[in-house]
Amino acid sequence: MNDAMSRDLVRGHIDTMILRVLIEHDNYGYEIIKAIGTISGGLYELREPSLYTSLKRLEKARFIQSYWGDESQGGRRKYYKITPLGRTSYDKSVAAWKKAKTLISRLIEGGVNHE
Amino acid sequence: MSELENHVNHLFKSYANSQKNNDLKAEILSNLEAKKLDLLKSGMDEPTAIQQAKDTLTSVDCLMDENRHVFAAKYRLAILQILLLYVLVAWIVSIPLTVIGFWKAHDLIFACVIAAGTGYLIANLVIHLVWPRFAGKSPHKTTRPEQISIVNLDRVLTIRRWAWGVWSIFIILSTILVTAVMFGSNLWYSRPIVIDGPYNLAIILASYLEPFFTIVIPLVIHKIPSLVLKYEAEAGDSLAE
Repeated sequence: MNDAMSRDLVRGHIDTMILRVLIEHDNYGYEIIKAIGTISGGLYELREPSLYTSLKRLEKARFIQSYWGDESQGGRRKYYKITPLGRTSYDKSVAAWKKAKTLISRLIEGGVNHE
Repeated sequence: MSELENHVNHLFKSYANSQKNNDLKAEILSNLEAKKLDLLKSGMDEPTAIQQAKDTLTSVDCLMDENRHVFAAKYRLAILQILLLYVLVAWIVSIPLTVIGFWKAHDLIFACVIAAGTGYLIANLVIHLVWPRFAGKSPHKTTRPEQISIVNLDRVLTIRRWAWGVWSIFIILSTILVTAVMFGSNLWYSRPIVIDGPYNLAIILASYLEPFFTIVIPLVIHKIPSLVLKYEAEAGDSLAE
């Protein structure tokens, strides 16, 4: 139950998670999933369907751009690159998250100082 | 062709062979290949690695633009509600026809009102009374009212066009039929058409009007695409899990 709840909370931030990975360097689908898994310390695994849905949404919003790599083997990979617009959106999301985090902690943790 | 390539082709089987879809296909395949290579590197045997790569994506339905995710229960209930509303209006409109003895259409529409009404009532009872009782006990992640199903918007729009087309043909044919029945002999024997009085005129008009009550069917279907958009779920809370 609690797991399901935190999964729901995390799910709302998939776009920002992907932008964060792409800020480091351009990347392709599978590596993005791996990077997110590593950053989470193995606690979170982004599923493929969510990845593609999110990448599509981000590209449509012009937060990321895609280009095909020139691999000689294993098929051509589609790489994603964050745009300046995406960078702005990322910064905004992080600021919004920090604000929400403080507010929610204050509202639900019942006066006990957890920080 | 590799096993993964077969798998991806199978996933795209029912979708158009467009540039966009082919790009997505190539992207998915390259990611699955990357996953397979990664698993092989970690010491997994090939059949298991391929199977695991396949399992990560078992459908591309939720990635297609024309496929919309809708809250299934609310969406279906809304269609039922519109159907009920329209047959009710049709039933009221048909009341004047009974004055001149046209009970058949009126009674038939009444039967539809009863059927749609019962359906609507039962659906409401199930959603608001039965499901909530089981929601707490069910181990499923989502409760039923939040269950999401996929609707292909392109297909819904095609059905809408067909509904109007078929209905138009029906109206043309029934108009011809009514004319043939009422005035066929006049035409055959070249007798002049005589309308003796307002009652007779009303009968003729009502006979032509009767088939038009079936407009309820294309009207309900016409509303469906907007209902798909109205009850569309956020892209995030989809079948991704």
